[in-house]
Amino acid sequence: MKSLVIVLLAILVGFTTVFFAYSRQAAQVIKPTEKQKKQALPTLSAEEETLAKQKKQILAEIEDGQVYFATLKTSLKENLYQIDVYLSAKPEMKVDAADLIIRTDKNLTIEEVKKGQVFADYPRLINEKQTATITGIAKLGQDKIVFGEPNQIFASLLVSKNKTNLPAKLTVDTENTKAFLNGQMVLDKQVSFNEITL
Amino acid sequence: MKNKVLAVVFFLSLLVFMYLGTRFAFRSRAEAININLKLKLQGHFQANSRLMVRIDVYDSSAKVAQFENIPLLYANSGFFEGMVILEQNLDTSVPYALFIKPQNYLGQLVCGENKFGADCQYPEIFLDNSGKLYDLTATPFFAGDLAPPDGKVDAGDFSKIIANFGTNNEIGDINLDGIVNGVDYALAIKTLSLNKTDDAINLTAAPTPTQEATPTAIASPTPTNTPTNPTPLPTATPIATPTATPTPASSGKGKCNATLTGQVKATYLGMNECRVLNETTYRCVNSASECTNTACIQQTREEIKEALNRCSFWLASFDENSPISCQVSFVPDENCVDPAPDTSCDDNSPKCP
Repeated sequence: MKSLVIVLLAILVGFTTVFFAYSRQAAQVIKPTEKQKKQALPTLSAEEETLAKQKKQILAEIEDGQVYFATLKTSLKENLYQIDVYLSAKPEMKVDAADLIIRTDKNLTIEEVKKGQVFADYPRLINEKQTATITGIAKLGQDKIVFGEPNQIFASLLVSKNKTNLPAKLTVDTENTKAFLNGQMVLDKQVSFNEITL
Repeated sequence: MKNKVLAVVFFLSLLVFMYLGTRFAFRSRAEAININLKLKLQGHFQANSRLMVRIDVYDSSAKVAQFENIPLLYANSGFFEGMVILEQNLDTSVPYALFIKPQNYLGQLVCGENKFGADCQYPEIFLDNSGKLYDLTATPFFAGDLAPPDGKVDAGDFSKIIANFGTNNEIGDINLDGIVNGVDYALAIKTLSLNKTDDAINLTAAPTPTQEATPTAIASPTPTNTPTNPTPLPTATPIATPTATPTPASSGKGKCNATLTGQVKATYLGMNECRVLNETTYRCVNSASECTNTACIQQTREEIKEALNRCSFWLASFDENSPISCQVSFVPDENCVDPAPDTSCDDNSPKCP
């Protein structure tokens, strides 16, 4: 009985020693120590300080709320239409990034995708003839941060009907269409348009 | 006496179980399945920057293992490197594909030696303990897929960068310099504008080699004595023999000398840069018709774009409206050798007035 207790004790001591040694080593490999972290902390440049302060100030002034996409359809010719997509919200609202993805059925061809005025920067504006992908983002300039200002045109699409006598439809990719402010999704998908029939 | 025996039993047991513990806890690198990775990431990094990488292991049908938080270090070579120990029971007789996903970056698929991304059709990697190097430096990993990663760079990632701008938060700190700033923003913009995503994973089973028909005595062709050197062709009759003096026009090969002038405009981290272009160079062409001003301009633009990407780590964008002109002249030269490619990133050209 006594030998069994001693063997069990030895197992316990042996595994505890190994476990502590291993976990300490593993933690060291994966995570930098607090000391390393403190030593590595860099500082912002003067311009970046200004931008960070501006951002804080703008965010403090924005009221909570949501935005939504709305459309205005204009017939230009017999089979050519302009679809203006607005990003709408209450007056004091701003956004810092938005994606809009629109797909068409086979009876429609996207002729042109034009950026709007909501954002100062549209780094992604892709026309794949039956899919339009538009991304607008807040612009970080050297001394100014420009957030997206809703209640203007986000993007415009020129679409043509291939067969005039047949109906045609544009559909929003609701899963990948989003709008954000300060890392939070602010697009109201219930209110936002989901499709347009021409 | 009894106490001494018990003490011996205790220490012997302790040694045995410590040994067993170390066998399981510290499997040596020589024993465990391991690989060496070398990655090229878009962006500038400080020496010894530590990058966390996720590795997903796929066989031909599904993901079979996932390894998180694998640290790689930024070496002087300009790449992230490190040995990765794959501590799960992976079958060394089954071919695998590896999906490499660095933190805050888009992932790349490697399924064999020099088989990456779209070239990956089926798994070809046999894992072992030899520490084989997988060099993924041909195509850089593109930045901006922030945590939680979703395989693409979109508005959500930008919003996180802006939300964390000016802070020391890890979210948004793409280039691991400890701060979220304009560099992180610029890195993500580049990826977004290129509309890059994670490599698609559409693996199939490796094709089984078609079984060759067993040659029968009848079917097998009688081996003819194939001469090692082909039978010499009949010598040309003296009438047909061309004159010994080769005329330069016979092959048309030559040197296309070019004088490049104009301006190279680019955007780097949101700032416009412009340099005066004024240099002479040449390239070898197969015929005079290949030596045109248009071809020269096209090639110059491509070379400038390539150099900008390489030297700026994909942070600079070439302005396609840069006014560049070429004046070319063709000189026949049978032995023309192309100049060595300029891989230097030193730019001593003057700024535009």
